[in-house]
Amino acid sequence: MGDVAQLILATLQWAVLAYFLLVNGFLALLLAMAAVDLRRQRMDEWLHARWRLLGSDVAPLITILAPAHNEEATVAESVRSLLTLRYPSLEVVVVNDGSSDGTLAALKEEFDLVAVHPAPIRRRIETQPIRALYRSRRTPALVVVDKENGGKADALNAGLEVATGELACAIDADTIVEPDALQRMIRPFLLDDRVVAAGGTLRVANGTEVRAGRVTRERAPRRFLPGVQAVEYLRAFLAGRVGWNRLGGNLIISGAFGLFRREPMIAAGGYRHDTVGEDMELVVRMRRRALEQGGPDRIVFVPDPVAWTEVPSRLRVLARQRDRWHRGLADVVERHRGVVLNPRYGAMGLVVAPYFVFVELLAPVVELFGIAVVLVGLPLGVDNIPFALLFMVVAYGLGLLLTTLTLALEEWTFGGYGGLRDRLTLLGFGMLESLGYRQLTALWRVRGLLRHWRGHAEWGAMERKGFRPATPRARP
Amino acid sequence: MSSQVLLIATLALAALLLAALVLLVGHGTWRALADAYWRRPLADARRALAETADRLELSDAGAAALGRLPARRRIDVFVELAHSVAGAPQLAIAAAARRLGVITSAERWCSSRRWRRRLRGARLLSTIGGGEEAVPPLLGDPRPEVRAQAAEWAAGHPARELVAALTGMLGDPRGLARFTVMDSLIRLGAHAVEPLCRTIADAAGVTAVSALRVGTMIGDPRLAGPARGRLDDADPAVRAWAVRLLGSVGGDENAAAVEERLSDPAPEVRAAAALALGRLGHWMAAGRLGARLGDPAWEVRRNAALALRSFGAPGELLLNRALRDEDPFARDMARQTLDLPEITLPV
Repeated sequence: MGDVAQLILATLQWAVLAYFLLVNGFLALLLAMAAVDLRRQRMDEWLHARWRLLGSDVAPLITILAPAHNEEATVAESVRSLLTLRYPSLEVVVVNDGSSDGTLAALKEEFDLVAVHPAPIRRRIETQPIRALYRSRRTPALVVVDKENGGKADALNAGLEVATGELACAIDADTIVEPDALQRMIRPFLLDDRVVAAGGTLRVANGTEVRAGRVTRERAPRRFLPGVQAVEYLRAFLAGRVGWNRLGGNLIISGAFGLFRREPMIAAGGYRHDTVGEDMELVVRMRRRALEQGGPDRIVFVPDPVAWTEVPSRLRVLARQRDRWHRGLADVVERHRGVVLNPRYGAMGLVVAPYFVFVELLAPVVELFGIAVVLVGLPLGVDNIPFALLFMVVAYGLGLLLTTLTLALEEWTFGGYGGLRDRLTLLGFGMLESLGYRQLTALWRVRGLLRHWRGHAEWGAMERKGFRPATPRARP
Repeated sequence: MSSQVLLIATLALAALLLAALVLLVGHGTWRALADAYWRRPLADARRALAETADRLELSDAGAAALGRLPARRRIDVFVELAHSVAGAPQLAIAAAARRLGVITSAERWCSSRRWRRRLRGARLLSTIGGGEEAVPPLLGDPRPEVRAQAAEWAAGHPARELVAALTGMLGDPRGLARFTVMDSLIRLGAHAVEPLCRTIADAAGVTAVSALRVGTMIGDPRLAGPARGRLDDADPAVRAWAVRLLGSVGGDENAAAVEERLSDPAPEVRAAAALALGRLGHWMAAGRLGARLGDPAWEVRRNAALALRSFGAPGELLLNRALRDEDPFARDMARQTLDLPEITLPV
């Protein structure tokens, strides 16, 4: 092998190493920002009597949008759980998205639904036809929309049109929402008129005890796959998204639970049907629109744990999910490439969007490339064992350090997931994460990127074992 | 070179990992030990405070039990119980808190230079009681969170000057403070009517709209006069809320004034008027509401049709006639509304 080739290989190795150092350095910065934010948030929470909001006559009306597709077995329980959320001014819009099972019949029976004409709804977003609109004789706050199947984005758009709330809360049908979640989530909207959307921390429900639509015992998952995803979720939410509050704002509000101002959502055209990353796409579009045309543009993240979601417990399903998430990310980046490094969009253009391109989108490519280069370089004598180990230390050791610090942050702030034993269990999963799991997810994400380039846009089926039947999942 | 870098990197990483682990395990262990250590004193303190609420007096033994706790835990115990009691037991808890220095500390916090401390002070005093001297100045605090908390405290103190100060805050530039002020004024109810009348009569923009919103929730007849005076305001939002307020108060004079607003140039005012007439059941306005079925604004057509439908037979007669209207929009809305098995007037 020629000297030039060896030189190129060696340069590439050091470049990959530098990339990992930079990425982990930035993640550490995010974690530090999150620690500052969390500490202040915890200080602000002390002695705060959220319950006073419950007796308010002027609390903004929140509409919960709950799309349901073939949820016959669990829909009644899910809706009952939503109707009992502790918030004084609540409307629940359930959208039956062309279910082929008895979802609608179950709702009719449980809530004594009566058909009302759908016409007094003002149509501003195109959706699949609405067949009927129902209201409950028993529960005035419930509205059920029965429509032709059009997918989750279409169902949410139909719900948005029927909704009457000033704020709309989009959730997945299988999300378990904490009873006081809306009291926590409303606060940024009351504090700042510029806030257009807010997200909250999602936790992994696998391993917890769920009764009547409520988590009754918080516990870390005991199985490897859900456990390692619980660590990922903690890192993504606690360190990542909270950190972005101070570094230019978030670009992702999870589709599993997010609160939005409804009018800007409708003005932006609602959710797009032609992307698998519709939740992120909407947030970027709303923020971009506000920066271009004026209006509320702040996306904030409330660190409080507000909802629980079940994660895949089988490799095949997880692979499909990660593939889809990365296709969604690639699609959003491609659609909004004009934002990246564009000073017109302020911090969003100069910090947040470049991060999503150079770190979120490209990290798996660089990671796999780095592994390949080291593996090729070792037998060729370009690098030696110490260099390979150094690569591992930088690539994975720093990741483990960030995971441990995130768990420590969780311990210092919320102390969720049961006790110390649970957090140590999660630490164990965090240690094992780098031994195969991380490389596999990188592989799936790269596959997603390639499939995006080839034009694949399907969701793929999602199987779950836990408390609810299947619907497609949203990214955390 | 790689070996040296590797050694340094590994050592640095190991040290950092160890520190993170110590943070994680150390804090968890410390918390568990502290919880175990304080479990019994906390139970004693809770029992002592519950007895205070029951006997309306703090015993010396109770004071000793509460005094054994560190300040933060003691405050938590007071707050836990104060949320759940009212009347004489609440006063007894407040007296106990004063005796143990909790209220004095909170009052001192209210004058702190650090806004989070001021916020805590106001929160504690809102929950336990006290702060008659310390909290009112916080209504003008530079931080919206503190202003909002002071407004929440004022909801339990219907003194004339405090209510006047609250109505003066209805135009607060920050949503949280504005929202809390509105909420507090609604809770104050009749105590807030007089200053609200003045604000409704004189204020402009956001302040006027907020005052009218509060008035709509209170629904006191004394507010109708000033509200009628705003029906010709230049701001359509003010006119629309004035219409809603009159709709919530009711009465012939107010209904007639609302009916006049069906021909307002602003669609939001016409829509509010149609809805208010429906809520009032003012069927004498059916003819004018029928004419609004052909309104260029969708909200006005919908509200007019729903109001007509809510009148029963007289309204339905007009809706049936509208089925033969030349205007296709009027026909369409009448058909859709007549098809409804039952109607709910939108809020």
